[in-house]
Amino acid sequence: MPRIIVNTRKGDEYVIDARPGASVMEAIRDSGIDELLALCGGCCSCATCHIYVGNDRGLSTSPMSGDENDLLDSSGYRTERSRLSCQLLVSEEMNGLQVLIAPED
Amino acid sequence: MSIGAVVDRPTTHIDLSDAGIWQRAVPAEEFARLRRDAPVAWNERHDGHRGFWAVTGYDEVVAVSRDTDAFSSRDGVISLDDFDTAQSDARRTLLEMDPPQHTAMRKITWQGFGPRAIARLEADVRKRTAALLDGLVGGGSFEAVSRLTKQIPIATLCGILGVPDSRRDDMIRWSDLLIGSDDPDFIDPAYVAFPEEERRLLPFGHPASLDAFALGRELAEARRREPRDDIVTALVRAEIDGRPLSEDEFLNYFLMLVVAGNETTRHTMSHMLVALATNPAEWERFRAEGTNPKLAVAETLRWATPVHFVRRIATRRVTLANAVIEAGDKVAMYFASANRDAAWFDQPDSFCIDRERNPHMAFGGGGPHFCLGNFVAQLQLRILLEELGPRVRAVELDGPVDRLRSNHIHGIKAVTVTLLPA
Repeated sequence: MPRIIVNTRKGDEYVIDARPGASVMEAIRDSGIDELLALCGGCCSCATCHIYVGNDRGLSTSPMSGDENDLLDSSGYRTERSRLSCQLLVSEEMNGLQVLIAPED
Repeated sequence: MSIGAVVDRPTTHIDLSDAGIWQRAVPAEEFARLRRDAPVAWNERHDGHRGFWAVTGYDEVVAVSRDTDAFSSRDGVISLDDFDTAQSDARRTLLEMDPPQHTAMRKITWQGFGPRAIARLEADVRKRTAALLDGLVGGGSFEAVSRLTKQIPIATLCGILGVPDSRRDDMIRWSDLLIGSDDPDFIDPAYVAFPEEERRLLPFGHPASLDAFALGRELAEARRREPRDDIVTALVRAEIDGRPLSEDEFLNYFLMLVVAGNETTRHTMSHMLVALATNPAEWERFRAEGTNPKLAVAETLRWATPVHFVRRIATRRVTLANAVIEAGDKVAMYFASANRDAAWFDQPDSFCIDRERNPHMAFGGGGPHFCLGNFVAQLQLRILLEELGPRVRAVELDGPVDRLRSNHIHGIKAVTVTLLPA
C-alpha cells in the first residue's frame, strides 16, 4: 500500500497508508488526522481540503481541472504547490508523496 | 379486493411536519429515540401529502447528502410537501438542481462567496457590528432580533449582492414572509387575496417573491448598464451552456440568495445570545481563557442548527439502516438530530464553547450542496463573538424566547436581552 507523508498545521509529521482508489483527502481523514475539514465531502465544491504538495509523485494521473483551479483561486493561501486533496487519486506511484496541510481560510 | 401490501417499517411517534411542534421546541427526545432505534423512519402525514422518510442518524444523513445519484434535489428541497413538476420548475434554484447543472450554476457565484472574497468584508462587518453593540451594551433591556441580529446579516448581504441600503427593510420583510409562511405572525394582509392556484407556482408559494423579483429586475438592468464588483453583476454576465441566464433563472437565483443569506445567519446569532445567557460559565470561560473564536463559532452553529432539515427524493430503491426507501419517496435529512448524535459529539446536549471535535452539520451533511454562504456566515458570527468579548460581561434574558412556527427553519422572532457591560 502506498505511503504518504503528511505534515500538519501543528507541525507534526505522519506517515500514513493510503488505499489505492481513494482520494488523498480520504486517506488523510481516515488516518485520524482531523485538520482537513473537507466540508463538501470530496466533490470539488468547497476548497476546505487544501494542501501543498512537496513533490510530484503519482500526481500525473490527477491533473488539475478547471473547477479545482477556480476553487483554489478563492483561497487566500494559494501557492504554486496548492492542490485540493479530494481531487488527488491515490495510486501505487504515489508512494512517498509529501503533503502539507494548508492554513485554514 | 386488494388492500395493498402491509409494510412493516419503523415510524416516527410524532409528525415532524407539524410546525407547531417545532415552535415549542426541537423534539429532542423523539430524535434521541429515533437515532437509537430507527435512524431512518417513516413519518406518515394526514393532511393529503404523502409521508416521508425522516433520517436522523449522523452517518445516515451523510450517506444521503453525498449520494446525489440516489437522492435527487430536483423535486423539492426545503419543504416536506408533495410538489409536482410544474411547481418545482417554477421555483427551481441552485438548491433544486443536481450535478452537473448544479455545478455550473454554483460556479457563477462561488468566487464571490469564497474565502478570499469574504475576507475582504471583515473590516466593514466589524465596524458595523461594533457600532451596533456600542449603542446597546449597558443601555438596559432591548429586543435583540430587531436591534442587532437582523441588522448585521442584512447589511452584509446587501453589500455582497449590490442591493442599495435603502432597500434593506424590504429585504428583511420579504424573507420573513417567505420563511414564515406557517407562522400567523407573518401573514401580510396585502397578500391574502392572492389566488391559491397562482401561489403554487411562486417561490416559497408566496406572492412576496414577486416584489423581490421586481427589485431583482431593477438591479439586473442597472448592472447591465453599469457593471460593479457584486453578485448581481456576476449573475447578469454569467453564461450557462453558452447562453446567459434566463430571466426566471436569474430571479430565482437572486431570491434564493436574499433568503438564504439573511435568515439563517440572523437566527444563529439570536440562538448565540440565548446560549450565552443560559450558559454563563461558558461565556466566562470564553472571555477568561482566550478561547479560539472559530471553535466558539462552530459550537454556536451546531447548537443553533438554523435549518432543521433538507429533503431529497430517492431516484431508485435504496436500503439504508434497514429501511427500504422506494424510488420517488421523499427523504428528509434532519441536521437538527444529527448535530446531537453522541457517536460524533461528546455530551451533545451541552453547549461547550471550546468544543474541539465538532464536525457539525449546520452547513449540510456534505456533498455539492454544502452551504455556499458558509464563509460569510462564519465571518459574521466570529466578529460578533469577538466584539462581544471585550464589551459584555454577561448576557441576560429578560423574557421568553419567541420561536418561529416553522418545520424547516429554527427561527427566533424576538428575544429581549440585557448586555451587561464588562
